[in-house]
Amino acid sequence: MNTISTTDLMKWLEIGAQLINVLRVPIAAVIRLFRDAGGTDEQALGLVGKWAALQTSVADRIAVLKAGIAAVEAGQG
Amino acid sequence: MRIRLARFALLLLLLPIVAACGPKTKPTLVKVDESIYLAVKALHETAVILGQSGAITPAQELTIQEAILPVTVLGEQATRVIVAWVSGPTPAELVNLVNEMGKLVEKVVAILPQQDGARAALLAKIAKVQQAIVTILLIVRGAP
Repeated sequence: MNTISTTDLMKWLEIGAQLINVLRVPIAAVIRLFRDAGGTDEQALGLVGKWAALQTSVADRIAVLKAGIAAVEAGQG
Repeated sequence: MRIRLARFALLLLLLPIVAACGPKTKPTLVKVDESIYLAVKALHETAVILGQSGAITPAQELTIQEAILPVTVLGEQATRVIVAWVSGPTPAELVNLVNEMGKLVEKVVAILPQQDGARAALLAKIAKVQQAIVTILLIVRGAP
């Protein structure tokens, strides 16, 4: 865990203010983004696997769709 | 305006709480990455449901899924970089992920089906993706 400097703290506060004022994000959500537990290295490693699994799922679906479209076109031809 | 000032004042009051917890850049990047992952996953699953129910044609769903695929590849790459990231500027891969997500949203909006139900379902997912994009852009813009 790397704690950032005072300058960066002010930067994050500015971002927080933008989230609240511009995006109208609830204050609780902003505070949660900054201070809640989570975002650990273990979670990041888990996310690598999740992205890979999603990639496979999307690729599989594309293959199914292409096969289906090809079958319909072959039937029409 | 009053509400904005009140919210900002409240934020300042909460400064000690935030400071005490020490805003941590890497965990925030991980959480933002996770929110992007969840949004893209929801978009993929919604497109499958809409395709299977006939709300969109197979060709329309194929276009959406083909637009999602490069984002998932980039998502995995960006996450690997975040895992190894210790400090410094926001990883370039994360910026690329944001750009690809922008393109994804444009593509999906361009082929949105006309049926109200399907359109609303996809728009809801797109809104989440856009929210994630805005959040990450704020972080990228503020990064040293």
